Amino acid sequence: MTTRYAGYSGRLLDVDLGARTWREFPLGDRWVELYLGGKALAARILWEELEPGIDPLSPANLLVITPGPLTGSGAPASSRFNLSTKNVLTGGVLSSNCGGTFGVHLKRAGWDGLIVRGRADRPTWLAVDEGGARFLDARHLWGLDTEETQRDLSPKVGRICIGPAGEHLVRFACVVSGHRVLGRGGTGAVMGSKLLKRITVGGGRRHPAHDPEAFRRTVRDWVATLRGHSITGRQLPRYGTAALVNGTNATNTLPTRNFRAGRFEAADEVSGETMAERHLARNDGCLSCPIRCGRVVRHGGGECKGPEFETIGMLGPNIHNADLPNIFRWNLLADALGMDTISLGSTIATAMELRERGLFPELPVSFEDHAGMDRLIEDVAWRRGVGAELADGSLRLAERRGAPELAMQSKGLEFAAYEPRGAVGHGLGYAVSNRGGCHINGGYLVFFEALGPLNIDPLTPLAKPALVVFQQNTMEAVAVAGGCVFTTYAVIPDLPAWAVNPHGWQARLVNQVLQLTRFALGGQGKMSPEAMPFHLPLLPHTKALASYTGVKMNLGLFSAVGERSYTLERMINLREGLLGETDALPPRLTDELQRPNEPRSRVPLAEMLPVYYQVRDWDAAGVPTRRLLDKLDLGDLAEVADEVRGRPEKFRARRRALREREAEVLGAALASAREWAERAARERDRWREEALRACAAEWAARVRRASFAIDPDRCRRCGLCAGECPVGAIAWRRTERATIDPAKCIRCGRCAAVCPPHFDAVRFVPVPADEDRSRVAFRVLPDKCEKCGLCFRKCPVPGAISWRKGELAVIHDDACVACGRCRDVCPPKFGAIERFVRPAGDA
Amino acid sequence: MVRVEFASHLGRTLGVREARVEAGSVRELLRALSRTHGRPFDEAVRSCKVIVNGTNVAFLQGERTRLADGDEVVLLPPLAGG
Repeated sequence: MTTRYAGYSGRLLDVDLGARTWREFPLGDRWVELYLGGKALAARILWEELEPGIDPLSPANLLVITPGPLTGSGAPASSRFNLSTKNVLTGGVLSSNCGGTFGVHLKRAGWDGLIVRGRADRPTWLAVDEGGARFLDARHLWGLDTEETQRDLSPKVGRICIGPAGEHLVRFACVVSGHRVLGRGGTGAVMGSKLLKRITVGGGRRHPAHDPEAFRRTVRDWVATLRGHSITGRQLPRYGTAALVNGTNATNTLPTRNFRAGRFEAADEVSGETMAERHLARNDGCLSCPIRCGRVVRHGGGECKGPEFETIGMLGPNIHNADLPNIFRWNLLADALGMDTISLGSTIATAMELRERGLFPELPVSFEDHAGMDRLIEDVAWRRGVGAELADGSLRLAERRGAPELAMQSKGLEFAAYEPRGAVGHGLGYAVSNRGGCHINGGYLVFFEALGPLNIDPLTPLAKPALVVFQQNTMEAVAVAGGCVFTTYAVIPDLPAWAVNPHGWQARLVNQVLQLTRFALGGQGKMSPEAMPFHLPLLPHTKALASYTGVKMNLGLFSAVGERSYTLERMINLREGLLGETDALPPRLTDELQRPNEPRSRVPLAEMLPVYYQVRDWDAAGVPTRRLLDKLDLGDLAEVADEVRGRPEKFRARRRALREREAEVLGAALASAREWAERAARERDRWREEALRACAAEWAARVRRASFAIDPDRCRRCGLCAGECPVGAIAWRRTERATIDPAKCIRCGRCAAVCPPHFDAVRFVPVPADEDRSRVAFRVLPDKCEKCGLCFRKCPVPGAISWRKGELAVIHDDACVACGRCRDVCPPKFGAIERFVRPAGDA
Repeated sequence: MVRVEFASHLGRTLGVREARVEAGSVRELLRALSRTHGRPFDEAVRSCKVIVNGTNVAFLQGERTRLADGDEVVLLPPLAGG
């Protein structure tokens, strides 16, 4: 039974790359109500379908790509989609989130998600539309960077792809979609291991809202709120995320020299303010977003994408670099090669510290010398020389070099650009985050502690566990809905001018009270989803979901979706052997003081962690209790939870075995990827031509078996098809939708070829067997052809007939759709074109 | 002399990114800045954190926090990113 809720198609596309087949994976009401979509739905699918203990780079790993219910709905900042898979750095779960247009196109193609299994036998381009998946040749794209890989695609098509880093299985390789990135945890390496170079998607299905009027009102108010708020309306549009450089520096949370300090003396040189003053060309943003936090900067005589705060932090202060144009260049390079800039910067910083200690003397760069960085970044992506060692991420590098404590990571994933000894709750978030050392998945507590509008003591462990849980659940739910987490920053209203003096005793009192949050929010894990049956004006996601999809939604249910999603991902981690002991931080952050004169400037993790488990209603070992699983309708997971509690050794052994085998799996996959890269370098031109021919032949084969009709619901009356129809068979006026006259139509498919993919209004209608033209062909009779070229000029299919002045025309059978237009236009006195039927069995 | 930095859009609002002010306490500092920059400053500073040498004054003595020569003060509007 597929779902009845609006905004859903009720099916996911389930693709097997190895067998080159696909099937529909149904999505029913129950899963919609419990998981909505996005990372929660993906986590449930991973729980069901992912075999525990497999290597993330093996064919058994799955890619699950899911937009949220609000993706493409027109709600502000809601064009996001999620990719979940097994994490290449941690061996646990990975969910990575991205803006841009891919998710919107996937929904328009009539799919609530995409599941990719297996491994292709050659570099593959997966093309998705409403009719399913097609497996196209991408051999000619193998080895190209992400820019070149996307160059031949229409801007109207959703796309994701990988660069050389993904092909070479760099453990922090990312997936790139336009100029946006699914950054963390090695998504690109998983695609690379499947020899999947790119996925494109397009379609024209629209999803009307359940209650259009209520949805329209909600969106209108929501946009006004975001535009009016000081963070989403002023800071982010003006300075982007880079405004945080000066903010984190002022609050001791800017990681410097591999997280040895929280302040960088030259921070202002790389700040968002400096970028805006000296380099900013204009803002950029995702579809339907009023915030537009993206940057376009002037650089190297042209314009290019500007770096985000995380990139600046990790490739700036954390490697002791104060040159902003350098960061611009490295950011572009990392994007082109397809690598996560956070893990890249952090791994380089770890390598630099190893070199300082004499443990990595052959590293060509240091905290003082960045001259060799460009070369090093390329070497990492192609796994050349010392780059090959860095390509495994900071933890594996530091372990191999004998100083694992220098890797600034949790569970294997590098921290983002916040030094948690200046905001200790943020440190707790890093330690417990399901993805590894992630700021977003960790609850982004630095917003409450140091950067946002509230004054909560950043160094006290009080209240922090409860706040982390609250934030994690909320941000998780927002991501699940398809929304950008930036929309949650408007949750705390700006203080109006008449409010109390923010620096006086009243504000300090509020701060003291906020620290009691531990008790106010302490019972979250045991709280029923029925406890908050209302909407918050500044968290309009709940109202938008209810009016758009018709799913029953309020704050309590919304928060429960986040809690369910978080718990489910935790359960996947436990099943993979990431038990409570991996909720840890490097000793630098927990034992060493950031500032010698401030005894609290370290992360008191041991104090916060038990409270965190308690607030979540997990047991002392960090395993969700049966009560919690029942509350979240995850009762069927309780058996595994009990097993983890009873036999933790079994699960630890599973993880150890994975680590022991990983070099072997990587080696085998890498050998094949390298072989394809070498062959592509030699045979690219031939392969490109073959790929183009194959595309044309595939199109021709479809057209030969079809007639055409225009879908009145999709046609936007642009008239393109009518103008292009070679026989005038399409009636159209500005005020009327186009219609095809079957009596005149020669079924050449030109209308389908020119209809814009985002309309996709021309339907392929299968024809009866006697009208199937699969075997029909045309040929030029050399003794009759007068070489006039009329057939070449009138042929409606580009590339099907070639002709040059003074030469015979040639009909290319593989691209020809057998419409017969050439024969019709050939002057009767020549009669130079002959129709014939190929015998059965003739290719 | 205390060095004051106006972070993020506060700097844009006031038209300057930093200033040097003679002040013995946070209260004196804010008054001095209010005299120089007037109403835009008064409105903007309402939502700002005052950070002296890396510590929010909310966790020192609030407005009564003493300032010494060479102290670095940052006026920080609410920020977020990720």
